Parts: sequence; structure tokens; C-alpha cells
Amino acid sequence: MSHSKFELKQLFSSTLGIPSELVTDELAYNADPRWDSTAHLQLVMAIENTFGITLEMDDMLDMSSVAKAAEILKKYGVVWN
Amino acid sequence: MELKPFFWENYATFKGNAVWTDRGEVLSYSRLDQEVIAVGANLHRRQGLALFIARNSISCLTHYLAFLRSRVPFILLDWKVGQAVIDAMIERFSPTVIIDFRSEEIIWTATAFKAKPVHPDLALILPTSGSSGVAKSVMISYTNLQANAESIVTYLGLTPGERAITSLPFAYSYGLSVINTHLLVGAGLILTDHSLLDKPFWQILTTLSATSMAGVPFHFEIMEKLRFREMALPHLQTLTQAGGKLSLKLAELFAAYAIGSDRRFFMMYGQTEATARIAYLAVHENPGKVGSIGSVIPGGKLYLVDHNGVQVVESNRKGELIYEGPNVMLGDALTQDDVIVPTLPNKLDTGDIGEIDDDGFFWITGRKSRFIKLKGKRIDLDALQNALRDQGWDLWLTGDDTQLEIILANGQNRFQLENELFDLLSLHHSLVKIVEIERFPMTANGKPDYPKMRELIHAVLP
Repeated sequence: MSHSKFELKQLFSSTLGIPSELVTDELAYNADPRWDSTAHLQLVMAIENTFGITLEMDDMLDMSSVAKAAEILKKYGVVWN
Repeated sequence: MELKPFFWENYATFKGNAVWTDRGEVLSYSRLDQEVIAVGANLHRRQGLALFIARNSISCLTHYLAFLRSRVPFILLDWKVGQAVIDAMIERFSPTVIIDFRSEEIIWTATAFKAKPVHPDLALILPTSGSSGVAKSVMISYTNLQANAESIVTYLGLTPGERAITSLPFAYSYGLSVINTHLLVGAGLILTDHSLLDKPFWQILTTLSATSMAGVPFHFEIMEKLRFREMALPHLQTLTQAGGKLSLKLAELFAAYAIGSDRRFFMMYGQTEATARIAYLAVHENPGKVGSIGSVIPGGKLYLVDHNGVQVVESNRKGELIYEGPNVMLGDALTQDDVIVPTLPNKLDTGDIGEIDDDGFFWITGRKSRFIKLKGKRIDLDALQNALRDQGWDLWLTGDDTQLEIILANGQNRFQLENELFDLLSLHHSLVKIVEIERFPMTANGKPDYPKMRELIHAVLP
């Protein structure tokens, strides 16, 4: 199923509590205080629910930026339009 | 209780063991000792309190040990606390020097404050929650530190062959007790500030063969999400958990994991007011008691009193848990006067309500005072509520160990409140639930009706 990057950024925005205009591809784990370990766990769960997938441990830990998340999700069959 | 040699001296006799870091450093305990002596040489004539902003690094450990050895008392804060918390501490305690490990290199700053008298037994001042700006702080003595470490070493059966990885902040009573206990028996330490969600944490844990790790309930949630129970970690033999109540589901999963894989799993109960530890349960030996806090730690005394202050001797009858032991703090550090003349309580009223079962195991059933514990941080709802109300917020707080609940008057800016709370507590907004309301439910005598508020909140929110 194809998804838009906008959708992914919205997910980051609502999970991290960061206004969507500040969610850029470069937004990185631990670089913004709002994206801390608690938020990261929430993010992993939100991504799994939204895309109906189960992430591997390495992928959960590698998901360190918005761009990285988009790239990792491709492995799980997510197509970006 | 007769104490062994202090851990800040004793580790040096285990020359062969060492401390490792996530940056590839290794320092034998004999080398560490030389560095501690070198730092200590500059501390001889230090007076007054120091403010110590700590992280899990070798330099920080060296300074910590040198300060204990030179008997220079200090306020211990985590490097991740906000500047507001640091400023508040400086204002409250007028430290004469600040030792700051927030950046890579240590920064010493002398302040303009004159040294004020300090109680001679005071080793350190520790906030009761990691980073909350409104947290209270407690005073811990040298005897407290040592007695707490000795007791834990005894019930965990720690040996020099152990090697712990620091999964908790240095300036957190639980994290600090992991360090102190391992130094006491000359066991190894792996220092890292990486969280369980950072890949390097697991790489270091594996490559440096950590034998144990410690976690608060949130860590166990992460571990479960990461499918920790399926990881091959042959060296990791012991898990400890403290810092709040672990959900029964996770407790049972990890109990089964420990038993099934021949590992040890300790669920522990305590408070910073008791330096860290009060009770423990060896889950792998008592799987039928999962959910209880077990029994009192060696050297301490734990009992229940009813609301008249009379000791409850029957089993299965509720009372407040009271703890006595050599690890009970010198007192709260609310003002500078406390630092000179501590209250020296001979017992600790935990505020937790519990009962003893027929086998002598303690079970916590509720809480007397309005505290919640989120992510291992203890939040005093009344103190936070007062602080926010003082700032002009019209609100009341409730909650439990899963979330902070706020009932806010209509027309106030909830987003501003969310931001303010984040600055104050660093709590992820998913842990904070805000419900706006026209009129607050109050009891007949005009007090906030918290049970009613919770009902309202739970009716609106999932």
C-alpha cells in the first residue's frame, strides 16, 4: 500500500508533540529533547500500528531520523508516493 | 551493624578489576585509585558544599570517589537536568564550587558564595526524582551510602566476578547504588550514558560481557518491545528492577524468562530517603510471590502501622509501611538550615500502604500520600500542583504510575501548560493527560474531589 511522506511526518508530529512544520527529514533522535527514549518507544508503536508491521530490533534502534524511518519502512513494503 | 571498609576506599584492593566505558577506555582499579588520589590532593582544604553535575564517565567516577574520600559534601544532579533545576539548587544551597560534567571535559567553577557550615556526616544531597524541578532533595550520610551498599551486596550475592552496565543515571539513587555496590566488592563496571534504545548500549553490553543490568519499569517495557527475552546474552545472568511497580504482566513474563533460562531476577522496593533500598524479592526463587515487594533488606526493619500508629502484627491486615535501618537518610534538604542541623529521623514513613501475607512477604496495596511514579521519577502531586497554581494555573492533578492527569479550568492555554510541564519534568506528552472542565468537582468541605476528578478524566479519555 502506498503512503505519503506527509502522513509519516504527521505521525512524527503527533507522537513527538513537535509542530508538523518542524518535522523535517533531518529531525533526529535525541537531537530534539522531545524525541527522547520515551517518545521513541511511542514512535515505534505508532509506526507499527499505522503501517501494520512488526519492526525488527535493529530497525527500531536504527530509526534515528525521519529520513531513516522512511528508508527502513521501505524494507517492510511501505511504498512512498 | 558493623561496617566493612568503605567502598570509596575498598575497590582499590581489587587491582585486577577495572572500569570500562562506551568509548573504549579501560581503567584498572589500581589506576583509578591513583587518579582518585590525584583529584583528592586538590580537595583537602575545600569548604562548604559542592554542586556536582554527574554522568556515567570515568572522570565523573574519579571525582565522585575523591569527594567521598576527602569528605567534601556535594549536591548530586544528573547532567540532563535543566538549567532551571541547577539554578534552583544553587539558590537554595549556595555551593562554593560547581563541578560540571555536562560537556565532554569537566568544568570547575568557583562561585562567589562563602562556605557555610555543613553537618559533618553529610556525604551528598540527592533529589528524590531524576529531573523534576519541584522535587525535594534528601541528605545522605557516609554511613547511609556504605550500609545501603553492604546490604544490597549481601542479598544480591555480588562477587568480584560481576560486571554491571550502567543503564541508569549516575545521579539517581538506584543508578548510584549499582556503582557503589560493585565498587564495594571490587566487581567491574561498564560506564555508559547510552539508553536502552541506543544501539551502542547493546553492543557494549555484549562485547564487554556485562553480567547484570538494572532497570526501572519503563526499561522493562523497552526490553519487551525489543524482544529482550529472545536475545542471546550468555554473560548476562542477573536482572534487577526497581524505581516503581512493574506491571504484573511484565513481572510474570520476566520471572518466567529468568527461571526458564537459569538467570536471577530481583524486584526491589525502596526510596531515595532510604539511600535506595528497603525490600527485595528474589523472583527466581519465589515465582509465586511476583507482585509482592518481598522482604526487608539485610540490616533493616520493615513493619506496618495502622492509622493510630499502632503496629499491625496480624497477616493480611493493612497498614503503612515503616522502615528503620542504617540507610535511612539524615533528613530532607529543604533549606540551608537543614544542611547544618538535619532532622535525623530514626525511621522512614514510606507513605505506602501494604500488608504481610502468611509467609511474611510484604505486598503494597496503595499509597497514603499523593505521589505517582512515572518512568522512575517520583512526582509529588501536591508539590507540583502547588507550584503550578502559584504560577497562576487553575488546575488540579491526579494520576497513577501510568500517567499524570490534569484537570484544567476552561479557557486556559493547555498547549502552554504542556510545554511548561515538559520543561519542568521532561515528561513525554503521552504520559500527561489533560482534561478541560467548566467546574471542578469539590468535596462537601470544599476540598478537591480527586476520586471524582479521576472518574471524569477516565470517562473522557481511553
